[in-house]
Amino acid sequence: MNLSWWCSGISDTNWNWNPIFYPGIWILIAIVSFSYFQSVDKNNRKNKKTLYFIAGIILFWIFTDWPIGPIGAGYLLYVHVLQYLVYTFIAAPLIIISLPDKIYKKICNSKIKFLLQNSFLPFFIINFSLIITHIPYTADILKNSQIGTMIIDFIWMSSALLFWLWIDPQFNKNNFIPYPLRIFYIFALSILPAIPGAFFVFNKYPIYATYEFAVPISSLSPLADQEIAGLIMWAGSTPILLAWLGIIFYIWQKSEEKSNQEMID
Amino acid sequence: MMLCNKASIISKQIKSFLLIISLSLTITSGLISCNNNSQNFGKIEQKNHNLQGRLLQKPLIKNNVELFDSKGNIFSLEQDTRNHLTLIALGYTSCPDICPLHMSVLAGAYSNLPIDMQRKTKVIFISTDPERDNKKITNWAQSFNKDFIGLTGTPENLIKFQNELNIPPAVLEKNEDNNSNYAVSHATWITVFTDDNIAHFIYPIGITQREWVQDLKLLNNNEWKIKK
Repeated sequence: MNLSWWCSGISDTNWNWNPIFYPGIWILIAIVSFSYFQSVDKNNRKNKKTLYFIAGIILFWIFTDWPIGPIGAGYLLYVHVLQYLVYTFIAAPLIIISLPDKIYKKICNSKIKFLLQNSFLPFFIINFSLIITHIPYTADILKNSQIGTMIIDFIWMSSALLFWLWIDPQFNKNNFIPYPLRIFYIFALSILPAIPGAFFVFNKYPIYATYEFAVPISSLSPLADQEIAGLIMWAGSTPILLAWLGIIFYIWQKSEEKSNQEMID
Repeated sequence: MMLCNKASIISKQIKSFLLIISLSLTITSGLISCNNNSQNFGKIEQKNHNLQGRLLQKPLIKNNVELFDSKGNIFSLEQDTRNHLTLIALGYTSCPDICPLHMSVLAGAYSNLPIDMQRKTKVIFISTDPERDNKKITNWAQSFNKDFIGLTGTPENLIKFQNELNIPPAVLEKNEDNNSNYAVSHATWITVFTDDNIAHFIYPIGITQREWVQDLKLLNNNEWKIKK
């Protein structure tokens, strides 16, 4: 008999703290890490860039694998929002600034460079991915299956990598996006998450069926969970983006000083 | 020349940026606000009425089977809920999923009803596991909303009560070792009695809080209709 009408008392949707092994995540991380270390010269493996990469990939792994991954995918909306923030604003930029010269050269010789140089498409894509993955209709459909959840993670991570590559000063050596504009885009990136955030906070009802009908794993009601998610979405991205703004601003100042010095010389 | 190029790039990008932001705002607000009812659980087939529940071919009447709360107070559905919109859910307090889920959805919907409608509505949770729940059922139900009523009964009365409502009796899934950690199989639908003391509809799991509120308002105001 359908679960809509009968409860047999035994359900595979109940949350428990027995770890679950997701081989796909481990394989992905192994491939990415192997490719990264293959591209780095043996002499340069103990520098800051390697540390950035390790930090980025570990964050990605922690927020994708058990328990955070499945909790965010099907039980608590605020965990899902935390995943989004960590992927988009911390893990992705850390991975981008860790890229070795070899990979930069490869990107510069590929078609991606043309895409990044001649349009503001990365900014559009990262915001579009935020919207499309938070519309209740698509989110509920995708979060119904493991593949759907994987698609959401992939969309978030790839759009974030593209955006930060576009902003990255190392990639932008030719200065085709002026520094003020880069700062403006990073600032603008903090605006859009406030929209779903406001919907989460001010809605009288749970927006997503996935979380409304999730088996409770804490004392939080679906609406309280949604309100916390909204507050995180609203205010969570701002301090992280401010930190990145500071970094870009510092690099800009350094590059200006350098070019002034060159002109004097 | 260089400055001109940069200025033109900046101007173009800002224009495009503003365009995208306004488009995104429109799409986000439109889609988020329009899709609140978008879920696939418990779809009702061949609806000939304006509610989310399923219309009963033979309406049910309230019964007088004796139930009791945690303090031992006797409760009769027929007498104690007379002329009230009454929602009856079955389950047990150790239930890991459906029962707390049902009550959480009902609590969310109930708290969104106007006060006068809340006064005319009674939400009753009946435990089919009296052995473990007779001392805690009232507190458990009220942990979702202080107005909710938690009841149980003797095993015989519970079977009689379920039979009266055309509900297959719950089954205690006890092991041979008589372990107290057992599950209970039970019906998950909610039987809804309108203020004429007749149940015309039952509701499966999967009705959202928003849908419950819409339906409870229609039911409270006697605005539900059956197309003939």
